[in-house]
Amino acid sequence: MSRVSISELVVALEDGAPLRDALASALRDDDLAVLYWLEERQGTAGGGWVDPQGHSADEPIAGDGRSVKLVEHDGRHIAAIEYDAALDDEPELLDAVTAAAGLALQNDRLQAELRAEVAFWDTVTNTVPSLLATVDTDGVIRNLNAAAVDVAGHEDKRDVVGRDYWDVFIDAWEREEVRERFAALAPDFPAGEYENTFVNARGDRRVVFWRTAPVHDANGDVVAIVSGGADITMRRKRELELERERDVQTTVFDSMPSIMVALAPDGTIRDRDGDDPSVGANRAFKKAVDWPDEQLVGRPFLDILVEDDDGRAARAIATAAGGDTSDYVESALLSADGSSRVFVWSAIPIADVTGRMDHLVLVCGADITDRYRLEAEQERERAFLYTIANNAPSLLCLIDERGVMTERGANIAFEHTLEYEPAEIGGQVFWETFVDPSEADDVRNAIIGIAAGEMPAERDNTWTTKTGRRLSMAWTCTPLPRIDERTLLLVTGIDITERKRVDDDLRASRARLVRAEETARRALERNLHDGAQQRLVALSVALRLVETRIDSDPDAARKVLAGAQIELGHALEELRELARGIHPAVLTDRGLRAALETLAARAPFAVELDAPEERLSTDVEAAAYYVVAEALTNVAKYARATSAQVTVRRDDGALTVTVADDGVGGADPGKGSGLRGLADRVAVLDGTLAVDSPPNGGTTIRAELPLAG
Amino acid sequence: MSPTALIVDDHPSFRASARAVLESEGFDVVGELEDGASVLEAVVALDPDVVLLDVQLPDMSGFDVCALLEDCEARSGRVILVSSRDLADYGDLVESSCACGFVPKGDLSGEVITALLA
Repeated sequence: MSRVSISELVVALEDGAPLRDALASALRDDDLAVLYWLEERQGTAGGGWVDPQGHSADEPIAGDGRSVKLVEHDGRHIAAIEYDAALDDEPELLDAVTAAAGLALQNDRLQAELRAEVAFWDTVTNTVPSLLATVDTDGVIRNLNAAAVDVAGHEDKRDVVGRDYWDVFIDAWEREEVRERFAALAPDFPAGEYENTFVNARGDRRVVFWRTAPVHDANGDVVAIVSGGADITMRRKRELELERERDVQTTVFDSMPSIMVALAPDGTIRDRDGDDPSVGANRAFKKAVDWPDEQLVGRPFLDILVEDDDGRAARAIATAAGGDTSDYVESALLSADGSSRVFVWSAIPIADVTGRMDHLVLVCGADITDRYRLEAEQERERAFLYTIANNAPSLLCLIDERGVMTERGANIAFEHTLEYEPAEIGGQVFWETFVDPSEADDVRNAIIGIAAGEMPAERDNTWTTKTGRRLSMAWTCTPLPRIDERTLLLVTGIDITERKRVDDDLRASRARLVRAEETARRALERNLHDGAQQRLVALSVALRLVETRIDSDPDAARKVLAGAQIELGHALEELRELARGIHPAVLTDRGLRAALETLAARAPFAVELDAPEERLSTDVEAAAYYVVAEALTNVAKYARATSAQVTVRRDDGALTVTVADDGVGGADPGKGSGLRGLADRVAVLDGTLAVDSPPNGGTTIRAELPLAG
Repeated sequence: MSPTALIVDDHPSFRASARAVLESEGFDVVGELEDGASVLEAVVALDPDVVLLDVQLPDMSGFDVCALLEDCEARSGRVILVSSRDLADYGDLVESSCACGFVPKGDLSGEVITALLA
């Protein structure tokens, strides 16, 4: 193989053949490589080797049949030639060739350097997310990077380069205006910033933020405008969403019926936003407390509380400042006009959307002033009803439709009358516990009927106390309005045991009086029939006899007349007796004392009488007279007494009649109609009759008769 | 022969008056009784033509006595009820009894008795 001569190399170089090819041909080494040294390699820390196209290359190293010759100029590396190691035998040839290529190498190195730089910027511009575009002074796109091509909605740079930029990046409706604005910037095309929204070639809506700057030539004329941009479509979208979200939040915030106020973690009331100095509270809050904004912002929230004695409000805010939601707190909030309203609220940690603080404390609460007032009223009403219930003489209790007593569902009268402790009542079945067993079924049926909708009616039944006393009760059962789907019935009862006893006594007394009256009438009729009437019948027969005999046997007739005379005397006497028994004339004519004197005179034992002369009401005189008459009759019949004392005393408002004997005693007022009849007669005048009759101790009957007026 | 009479009344004064009146008008008073219990026995024993029977006896009423006599086969005499009360006081008791008449005590005479027995 023969080497190429120097002259051959020079000719090749002058023909414009590539330097490496020329060198390879001259040295007959097809694998020959030329590398250039760049002092400042873009993108690396210092210098570096590149191939003639400007691409990075490894440092040339001799070995493996290859040798390296470094070409230097002014003591600095320029290039390295990698060649066949066989050429080392001809160093002169190598030196001659490199010397001949010296200028060409220099030139070629500069080109490689330029190429490397362009390649770098190309890489950079095509890999950065920012948009880059160059536009000439007519608005024609000269160059643009991949990001810009993509934003434009294209794949290939060539589809875009050469077109007017407004045709690519501006919506049709805006193009004319933009074109005019661009023209107006000539000839200086000062730096500026623009944001524009357009629909690109793919139909996507993009938002781009551009920053532009003019490029000048050596004469200072603008030759191009470089635009750096950023696709802010997503960011803008996010911002819009955020804004909308904030709008929604603000709307919600302001339209909530709950009060809301934002506090800094130190508990002071915040403004709404950096741009909005109004208070960070919603309308409900402002309406509720009615302070001007400037008096609220920056003020400690606790300042507008009426009081926080137990520190609960302060603790709640501290809890939220620490990142947790507080418990509920009830506070009265002070308004500017000095009034206050009651709120139940809690403090919640929230993010500060303005980004000025880590987080805020949101006080969120509900106005319960009206509920408070209502509760207070209900409480008062309840207390009122409770007082009524517990002071009512009636027995009251609450039962459900199965008759089960509710806890504490009975009033004091119920507990006292039925002798139960309050705790013993709840849970009892009403008719099983408080009603006489023989009437439990009646009561149960009545209550179940009323629970099922029957009309309540008053009933009389026997209830029993804890100790087994039986009480006559007049009671009713009334269903109450349903609460919580529960049927409750109110049982109201009145203890009529005493009233019933009095009623019974009164009825018995009346019956006895009627019987006594009847008995008296019978006796009277009998007496009239047996006495005076028989004598008058005999007289009538005798007079007829006299009539028939007066002529035929005057002596016999005279004898019959004499007998008739005696008979008539007896008849008159008997009639007088009877009349006295009905109502003694002396009592009517001359009064009680005179009548009692007559009674005393006719008694078959000694009677000592002590009575006032004065006249009293007819009823009282008659009652006193009959008490004494009956008592003296009894003494005569049973007492075997030798004497008796009759005393009548008029005290304040009452007449006391006493009949005492010295007889055998042992009289039982329950037996015999006489004494009971007297008691009835006295009772009619609201008086009382007492009998004291110990065996062998004599008998004392004492009647007290109230004097009307 | 005089008609015979039995007087039943608890009041001695009436019995005495009745005997005087009847005897003065030709009756033979064969007996006097003061209660109802012995009437039946006396009627059987004395067999009077007329029994003058008081309505209000102490042990039983004249109507009860009447009922007893009605059941008695041996009876042949007639019963006349007497009373110090009025006939109207007894309603239809007299009418429905076996007595052949009623005489208020004040109106008693042999003439009335004879008229009722006729």
